[in-house]
Amino acid sequence: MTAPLPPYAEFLGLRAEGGLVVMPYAERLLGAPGRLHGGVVAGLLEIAANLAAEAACADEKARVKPINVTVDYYRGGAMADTYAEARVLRAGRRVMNIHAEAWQSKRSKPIAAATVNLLIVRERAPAETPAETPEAP
Amino acid sequence: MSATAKDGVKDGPKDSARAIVDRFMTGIPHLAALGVHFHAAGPDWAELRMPYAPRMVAYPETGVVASGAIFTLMDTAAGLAVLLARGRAENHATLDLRCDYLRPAGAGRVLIGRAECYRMTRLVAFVRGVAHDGEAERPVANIAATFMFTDQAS
Repeated sequence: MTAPLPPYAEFLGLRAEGGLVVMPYAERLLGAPGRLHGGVVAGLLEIAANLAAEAACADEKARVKPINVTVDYYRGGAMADTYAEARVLRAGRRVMNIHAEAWQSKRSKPIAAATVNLLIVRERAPAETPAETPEAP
Repeated sequence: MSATAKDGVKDGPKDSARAIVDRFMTGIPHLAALGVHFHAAGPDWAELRMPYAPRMVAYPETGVVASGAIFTLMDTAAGLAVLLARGRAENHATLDLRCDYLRPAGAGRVLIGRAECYRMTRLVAFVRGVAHDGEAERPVANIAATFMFTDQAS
């Protein structure tokens, strides 16, 4: 995770740290008074998913493209630092299915979780393998 | 940032609707920071606009807009559509939101996010919507979301 983060991640103030993505609290992240904007939490979860997918590609240079994301919100985000961790549930050649969670004070009390499906575009096409994943649109 | 943005109110929200829009859209730090503005509204729908800016880019080489920024645009449009359908600026929370990214959002384009609250029960509102970058018939994203009214005992 040494590559620079995307401009949008920089805008959110994200840092990749030891397998987690940290979003330090900042006023510009607020939506309703005293609460993080839900879109900010979704953005954090998506970036965490993207980084996990890139890490799962190992040495192979690949670009990830979002197919879809579903975010479930469990509680409002407080004016505090937020953490996210993403787990690749299945790493296909072309599609990765990822689960990501975000929390604040306690890892055991997530504020939101996301199911993220990503299209993996590998820069150097290896020998063609039989279709192992449903084709993305 | 307000209902008097120069794009104007296409469908003329009534005063109460205008008050809802102002209360939902004005002085929200993240909407100001990202650049999400009111565009148009009706009895159960809202359109917001998000002009392209470098801060919302996913890949500098291509300039394509990050999915999280589109998600934020659509979450906000959906929330506003719920308030308009309810006719009251009362508290609610996003329960879930699914966003399908249909094609990349072109660099330099203004994104329009439109959401419609098509069903409301006592505690839950159902919303659908699309985002496009100029051609409404060629959306860049499609969403389905539910919201829960948090100011009522459950």
